[in-house]
Amino acid sequence: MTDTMNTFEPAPLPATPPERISAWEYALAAVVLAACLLAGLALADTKAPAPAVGVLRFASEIDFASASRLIDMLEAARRDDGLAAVVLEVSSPGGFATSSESIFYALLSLREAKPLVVVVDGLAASGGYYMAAAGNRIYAPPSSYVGNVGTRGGRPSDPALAPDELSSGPYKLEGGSRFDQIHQLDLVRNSFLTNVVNQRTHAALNPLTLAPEELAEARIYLGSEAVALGIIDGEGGRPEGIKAAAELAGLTSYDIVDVPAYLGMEPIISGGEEMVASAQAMLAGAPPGTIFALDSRIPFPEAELPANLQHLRKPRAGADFTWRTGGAPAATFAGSLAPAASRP
Amino acid sequence: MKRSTFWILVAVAGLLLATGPMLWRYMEQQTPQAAYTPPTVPTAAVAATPIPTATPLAVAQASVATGEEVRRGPVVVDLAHYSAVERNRFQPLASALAEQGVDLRFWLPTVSLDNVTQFSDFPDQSETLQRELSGASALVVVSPYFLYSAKEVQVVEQFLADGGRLLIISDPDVESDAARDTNSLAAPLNIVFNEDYLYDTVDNDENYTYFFQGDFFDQAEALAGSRIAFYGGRSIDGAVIPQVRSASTTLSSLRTGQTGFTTGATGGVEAGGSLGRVLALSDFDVLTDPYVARHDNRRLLAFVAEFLAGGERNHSIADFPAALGKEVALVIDDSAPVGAQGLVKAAELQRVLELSGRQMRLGPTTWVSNSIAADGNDLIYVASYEAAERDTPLLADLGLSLVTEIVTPTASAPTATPAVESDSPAPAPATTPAETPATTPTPTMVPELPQTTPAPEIPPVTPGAADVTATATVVPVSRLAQAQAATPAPTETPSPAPEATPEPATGESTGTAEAAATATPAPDVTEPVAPPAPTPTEQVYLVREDGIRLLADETQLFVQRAIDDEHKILAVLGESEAAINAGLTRLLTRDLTGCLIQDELVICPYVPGTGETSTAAPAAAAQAPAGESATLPAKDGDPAPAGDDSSQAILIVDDNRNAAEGEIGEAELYAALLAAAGYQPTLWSTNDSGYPAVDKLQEYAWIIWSDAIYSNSGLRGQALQTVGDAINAGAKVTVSSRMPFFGVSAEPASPIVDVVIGSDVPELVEGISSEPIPLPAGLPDVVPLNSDPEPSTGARIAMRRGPASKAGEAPVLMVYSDENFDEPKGAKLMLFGMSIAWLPDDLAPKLVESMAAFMLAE
Repeated sequence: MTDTMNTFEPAPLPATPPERISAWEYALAAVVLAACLLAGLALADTKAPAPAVGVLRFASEIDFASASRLIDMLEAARRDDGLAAVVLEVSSPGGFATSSESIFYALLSLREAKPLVVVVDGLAASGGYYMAAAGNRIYAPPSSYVGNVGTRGGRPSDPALAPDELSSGPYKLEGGSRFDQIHQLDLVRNSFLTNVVNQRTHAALNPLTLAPEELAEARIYLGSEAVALGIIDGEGGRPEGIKAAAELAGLTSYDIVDVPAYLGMEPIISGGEEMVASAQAMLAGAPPGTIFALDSRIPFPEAELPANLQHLRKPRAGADFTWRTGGAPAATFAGSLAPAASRP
Repeated sequence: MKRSTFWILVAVAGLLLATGPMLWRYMEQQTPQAAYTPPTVPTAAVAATPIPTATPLAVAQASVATGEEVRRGPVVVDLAHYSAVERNRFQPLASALAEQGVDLRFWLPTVSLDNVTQFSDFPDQSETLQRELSGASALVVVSPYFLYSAKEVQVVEQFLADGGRLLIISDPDVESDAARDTNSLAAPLNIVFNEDYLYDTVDNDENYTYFFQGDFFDQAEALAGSRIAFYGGRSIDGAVIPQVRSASTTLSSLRTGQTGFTTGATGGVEAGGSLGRVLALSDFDVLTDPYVARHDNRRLLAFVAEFLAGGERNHSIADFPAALGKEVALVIDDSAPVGAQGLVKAAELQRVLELSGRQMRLGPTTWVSNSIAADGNDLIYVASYEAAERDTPLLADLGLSLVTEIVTPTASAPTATPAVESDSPAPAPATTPAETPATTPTPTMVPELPQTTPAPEIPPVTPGAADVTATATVVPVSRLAQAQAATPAPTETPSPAPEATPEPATGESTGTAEAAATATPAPDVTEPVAPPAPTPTEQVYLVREDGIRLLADETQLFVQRAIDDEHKILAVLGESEAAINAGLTRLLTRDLTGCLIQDELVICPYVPGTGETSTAAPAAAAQAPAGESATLPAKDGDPAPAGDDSSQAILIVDDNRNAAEGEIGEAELYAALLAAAGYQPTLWSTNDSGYPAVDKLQEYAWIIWSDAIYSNSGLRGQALQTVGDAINAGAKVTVSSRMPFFGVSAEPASPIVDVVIGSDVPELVEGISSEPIPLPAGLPDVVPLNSDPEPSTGARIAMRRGPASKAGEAPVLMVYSDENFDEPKGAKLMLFGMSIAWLPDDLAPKLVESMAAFMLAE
């Protein structure tokens, strides 16, 4: 025997060849990654859109309707996380004092949440400037008009008994004596003035340097004058306003959106070329005793002079002055008999 | 790399890519929001405390004005220049004046703005102003809309020179105000209101335009320390003495950089005698409620009232009875007894005097002849020149004397005027039957109409102011119609069509006189014959020492002389009773229009035979009998004056002022027809006497305004205004005109061929056939009346154009009333858009009688 037995040594396994990622797998992976990127970007746009600076244009006289719509829009803008800042572009002669105040407080509320920059587009007088005073910044072109801080109202009347009704108190019908009404005009003006002075004296960029008494004289200032007096913060238009808003919001990249469209609401633009006529229509339709924060250069609607007395109109102090029907002779019996052609 | 590892890596990378942008965006957005810090602005503290209601203070007790024996002249407030100030706003001033014993009255506007074609056309009212200021203490003018004319300024200047006072205010917040317009009165008195307004933002009464006054000077020095505010005021300049100045914090809207403005000042012109008699203020509100009750404003009100009441008028004759004391005696020339009419005039005098706090009694002529201060009375002496010269030194003191001369008039060439051939006596004016006829014929007398048969009796015309003498006779309407056919249509019509001259008709009139045709003379016109040789007559003159000669019978004098230091005599002198009557009427109505006025002598014109001068408006305040026929004194044999039934008084106004030469109107026809119906109308000729004043018209129950016959027929200008004012005052007026203005349509003029009665007013057309009534051919065109009047006019149609006429169915006779109007006054307007002379002879009397019954009905 041989002692060598035959021993089995397994044969060495053949070497496992390395896994190769095929080209199509790379391609597929690339497509998948690209798709994920796109999906990620889309997701980011949807769930975390880029911050936007919203531009909201208000070009109207301030009445109950326009104020209500603006306040709704401001409230929606305040709650919308996509809007990082708001630029309010104002072109308004003002209007009702109460509506102007409401807008002012709504803007203050917005300003608590996000930056608000006001840009004057030509005119922000009286109530229009009241709105502007709520902004972090106010910009206006040099030739625009701002200011006219004051109130207006019809001449008060004295209490009188109405022949067709009884009331429970002496001022139920008029709301107060003649001097009560005059005093209230001043009180509203004081609120307006105090709020404006308060906001502007605390302005970070260009605080107010004008004395309150001077501001109370209700002058209208050019944009260039207003900058010098601290009534506004700087000269400029919409681009400057957007830039300032973005800066205040700490944005380096952002979208610019039109707020009404962004929020799916109607823009607030009325009056336009016929701003004066539109404001006068507002005046004519205002409830009795309304106090206005309205551009003083917009005249109150005058009583119609009878046609047969138009030739007797005479100008007063350069303004068109109508000798009102109160002084005109009342209709007479003989007058009613006059030929039709000669009657008004 | 294992495949699985690869795919795990791809999955992880894919997840990162899918979520990374979103996470990154979230992280980025957090930062900006965290980067914004809203500004910290403290809440504004706005004081809004209402003014507490002041504790009411008792109103100061008004004191009774004592020590005033005679009622002082009132303060007159001018609203006639259309100041836009309500009368009730003068209440506080009226109260303050009442405490001074002076009352306040308003000169209300009478000018219709419809007739003012432009601002500068506002008519001069100097005559009215003169009347308003006679006897007045002061005048107040507040922000007049229209300018004061130069004549009005002169009246005011004279008033001031006589001692009157003026308060003139230009208030910038009064609607009618413009400083430059108020300056039309102020500037001649050295006062200039500036066009600015003053304001104070530092110290004001609730509004910046309600500024306080700072200093008080001169007469207002007593107000020093007072807190007086003006409620809308302006600055005053000129040669003035400042009384009130604004505070140092008060600024001007125009005069920048200045302060201490004059807001109250006295002014006037020394040379004109008005210095210190004008007070200018630049605010009216401070004198009115509720402003006057604030602070010390009442002290300013008292100051103003004291100023207005402080004048001492040098009362002239024109200020009757202001120049007289409390006790007045009426002394009448005793050459004739005082009759009933004389007593009436005396009663009127007494009433006027009593209204002013005076007492009147009758005194003997010895009081005058002896020049004695008769028992402490002032005297009113009424006498003829002859008696005055005989019994008193009045004329002699004035250097006047009566001179009688024999005058032989020059014979004048006879005219072709038809002469009256009637045997019936020509009706004479009732009041002056004994008057010496004038030596020259009055050129404005209506020519007498020819007659073939005796004319019916026409009652004597009762003369008012310059009435036309009643020479009217009944004329055939057809004759007049034919005569009228020669005349063109009224000028207002767009297409006047002059007609051919007609042939005079013959044989158409039955028992009535014929009219003279305007185009051709009537066939029976009397050929002029040489007049008889003129008879020398006496002519009395008032001759002054310097040679001035006045015709005594055309002059009427007022003489005022001092009897002694305290008493005076006011003489009313004339050549005749009629002249004296006219003078008394002027005195009672304070109408010295057309007179030469000096301090102690007033010379007024008087036209003999007319009763009164043309511009006198007799006894507007007195209850004179209709017809103004009162005499003082009446003489024996005078016919009784016209009846005193004012409810039936009819005035026919012959508006012949624009009539062509020789044209004869229809007024006399109306008069004759009314007389035949038993009425006693009064005739008035506008050509002779001008347009009657509204208060004159209001004395009559019915006024017929007639011009339908005349070629220039049409109510316009002053005639229109007069009629309109009368209607608005509640008069009952019939306008008989081819262009009555009222109620006309816009259609063109067209001829009326026939008429038919309407059904709206049956009482007016009673007894008239309902068939179409033809009118004579060839009548001039007439503007149709409006067939669709406003309901508020209460229009009713009594007669229309007939079917053969153009514009058929258009009204011809309409009646309006104001019963549906806001403030009815009982006015009635009857429009007769054609001439009564066009109607058939049997129809016109019926219609006129019905008109009278209708219009005079209660």
